[in-house]
Amino acid sequence: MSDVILSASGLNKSYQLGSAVIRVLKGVSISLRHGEFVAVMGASGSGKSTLLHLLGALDVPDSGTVRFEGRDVFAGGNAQRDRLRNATFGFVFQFYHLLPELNVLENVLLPCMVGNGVLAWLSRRGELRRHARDLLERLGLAERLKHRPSELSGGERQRVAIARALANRPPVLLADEPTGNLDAATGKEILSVLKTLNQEGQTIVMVTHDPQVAAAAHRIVSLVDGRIVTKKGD
Amino acid sequence: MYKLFLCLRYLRKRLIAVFAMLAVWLCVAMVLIVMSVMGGFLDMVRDRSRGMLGDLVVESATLQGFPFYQEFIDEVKTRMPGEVVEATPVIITYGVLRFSNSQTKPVQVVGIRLEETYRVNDFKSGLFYEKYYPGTTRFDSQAQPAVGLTREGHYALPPELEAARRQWEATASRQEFNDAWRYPLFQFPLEAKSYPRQLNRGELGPELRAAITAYLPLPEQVEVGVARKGKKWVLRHRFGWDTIRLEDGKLIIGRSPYAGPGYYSQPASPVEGVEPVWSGRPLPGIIMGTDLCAERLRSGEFERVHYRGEQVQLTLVPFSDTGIIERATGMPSKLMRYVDDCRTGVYEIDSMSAYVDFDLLQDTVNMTSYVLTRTDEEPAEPASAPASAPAGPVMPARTTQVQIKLAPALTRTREDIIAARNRVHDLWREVSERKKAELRDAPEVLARIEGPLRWVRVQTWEEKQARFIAAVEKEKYLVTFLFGIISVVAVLLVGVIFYMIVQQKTRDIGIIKSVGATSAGVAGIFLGYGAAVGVVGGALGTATGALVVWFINDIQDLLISIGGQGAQVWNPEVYNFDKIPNVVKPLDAAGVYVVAIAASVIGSLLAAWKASRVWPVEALRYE
Repeated sequence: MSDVILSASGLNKSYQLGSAVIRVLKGVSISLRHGEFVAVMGASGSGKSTLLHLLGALDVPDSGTVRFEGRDVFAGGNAQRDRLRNATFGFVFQFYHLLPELNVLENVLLPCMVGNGVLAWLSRRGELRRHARDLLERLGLAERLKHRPSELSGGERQRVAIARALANRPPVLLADEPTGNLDAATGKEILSVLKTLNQEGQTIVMVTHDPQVAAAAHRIVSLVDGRIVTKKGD
Repeated sequence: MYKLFLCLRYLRKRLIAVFAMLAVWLCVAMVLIVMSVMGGFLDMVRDRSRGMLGDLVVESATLQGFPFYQEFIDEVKTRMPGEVVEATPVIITYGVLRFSNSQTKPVQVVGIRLEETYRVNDFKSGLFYEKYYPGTTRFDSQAQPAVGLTREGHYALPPELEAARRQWEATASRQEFNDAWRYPLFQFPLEAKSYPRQLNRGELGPELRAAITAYLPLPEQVEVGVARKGKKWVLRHRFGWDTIRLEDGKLIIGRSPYAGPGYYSQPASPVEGVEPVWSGRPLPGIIMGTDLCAERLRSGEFERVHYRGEQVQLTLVPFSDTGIIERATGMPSKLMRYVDDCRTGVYEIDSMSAYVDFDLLQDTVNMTSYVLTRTDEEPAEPASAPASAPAGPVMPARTTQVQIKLAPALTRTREDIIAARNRVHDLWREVSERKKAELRDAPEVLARIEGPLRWVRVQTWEEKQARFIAAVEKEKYLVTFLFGIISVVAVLLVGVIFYMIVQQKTRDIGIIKSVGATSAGVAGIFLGYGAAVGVVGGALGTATGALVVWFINDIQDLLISIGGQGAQVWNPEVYNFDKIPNVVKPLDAAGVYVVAIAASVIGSLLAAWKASRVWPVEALRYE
């Protein structure tokens, strides 16, 4: 059981849409082990993104709990969730979500800047920069450090986003349709990046609707109508 | 760290923030300029009002004045020794001044005791000749000083004045010294090297002749010729003669061979040496308001048009103690000598006032004490009348004002001055009641002084000028308030611009939050952003405002040189002061700056609040 890094139990989440209340998640439970690569599959609107947001403390469930290494993620209020998002979970989004005013290196350093006060930043700056540069080099972006996101291709942008997600060395990487906005070849490239990271020990949860993409994971969890229905390889 | 970083980055990358900054910049500059000019104006009004009055003024609201002033002064000095530094009577009346060129002007004649007045108010600091020739401005009978050639061949004033001038020179700073010697009439650059040679030969070349005639106001009347005396060249013309000096490649034609400060009469010919002398018969001195006897040049300096010691005639209007214009004496007229001029800086005073000796004026307008003849009702006899009738009671001497200088410790706050005023007022009551009681046996005298005594009031300098000062004060507050309101527009502009930025940046705010930024942190970015706009815009505005205020007179000169006299915004005759106030108070500047930063932060509050409310899931859902 100590092998479990992240677990969710009985997650319920509903949204108000006009006058209707839509129940997106209906009692979802899931647990991840260290170093696992899990794909969450489901049709559009099945609640897979919502699940990912709840797992990553980006959103709060109506009921149910998420535990990271046994600790309740939602127990400590906003401040703890902010800290978790900064240091424990790294997010990769379908639309990259880079800040257009910052260059590649600065985008990657953003979580580090959020995590460090001015003094801490000034004393650790060199080390953090080096780490960010290493990350970008490993992702093949060594030549792009000073470029703005608008000067990059989609695949490059997503790699920057991955580098940003990993900047604070988070135990868990959460990817929401990371290939969804890319052509097939680039998508594969990103997928192989994720695979490599996983082989190096990174725990990854990836949301996708594409079975071929999901095939890259150790385990596939399918969400249908807010409930988990099948599991592969478990 | 990200707050600072993003805040600076947004500042640099978003053009729109520049507009917010520009708005803050302009508003800060505007408010600072208005505050400084109006504040400076107010301070000048207050200073000058005080400078002319002393701290307290005992005054009767009638021209014929009030009695018992000397008893009161003696009493106030002996009974309030630590509080009252000096007290002096002042007579204010009206008359007509006739200059030697037969020009006449109406004047407010002020009778003062010179030495006491020096101690009571700032009168001395406004005197011209007294500054350069200390101790030579006096009211007693004196002749006119004239420039002459000493045996050694120098142009000089009579020894007494020369000694006084040397005394000033010993203490003068370099700047003061330069300012004092700035009285050449005509200056033009020398282009040809041949001029000195021409001058040495005692002739003017055609070019130089043309240049000089072009510069002199009445060229056809100038019969130019050049003479050499010692090391100096002299330009002769119909009005007399001028010195010619070569200085830094410039030819300077002076008004007088005597190049010291001031304007003195000169001997008829420079070549025949005349010893410096006191000429003419001794006459009492008169000090004039500077605008009365000198012309103000466009540069703001004064060009004196009357020689020192020139004779003037002062005609006065005497009032009896009952306010009847005296019939028996007619209009007394006095020949006097112009010994100095005084500049208070208030145009209305300087263009109207003539200062003469207190006793002389009191005597001339029949305000001295005299014996009341019981039979004669209205036209009273002056004191100088035959003293053979000691039968009647004595009418006391009168003055129109007593000015009092308080110890500096008593003038720090308004409350202190008012408390001192009340004590002085009580003392005045006591003295006047006692004096009235002493006159129980002379009902005729009592009846005559009743009215003037009733109208005596003791006021602080501020109360005396209250109407004027209060008007300027209100004007300052009103204008600052109006411009403050306009500045609210800048706050709104900052608010709107920031709100727009937050609106546009919702997704980015979501991103920043998704990597762990707190709501307070995100709000902090925009508050910091607002503060940065305030800091930068405010600093630029403060600097611009200060520069404009410091150079505001030069700016006006520039406008005048471009747009002609119509562009003159500050008319010295309207505003009483010849220069636009150009002092920025550090406290004002700091205050405006702080308010600008605060206002910018307030302007960004709504945007910051909105940014803090961004829900990352919502913000990131859509591309």
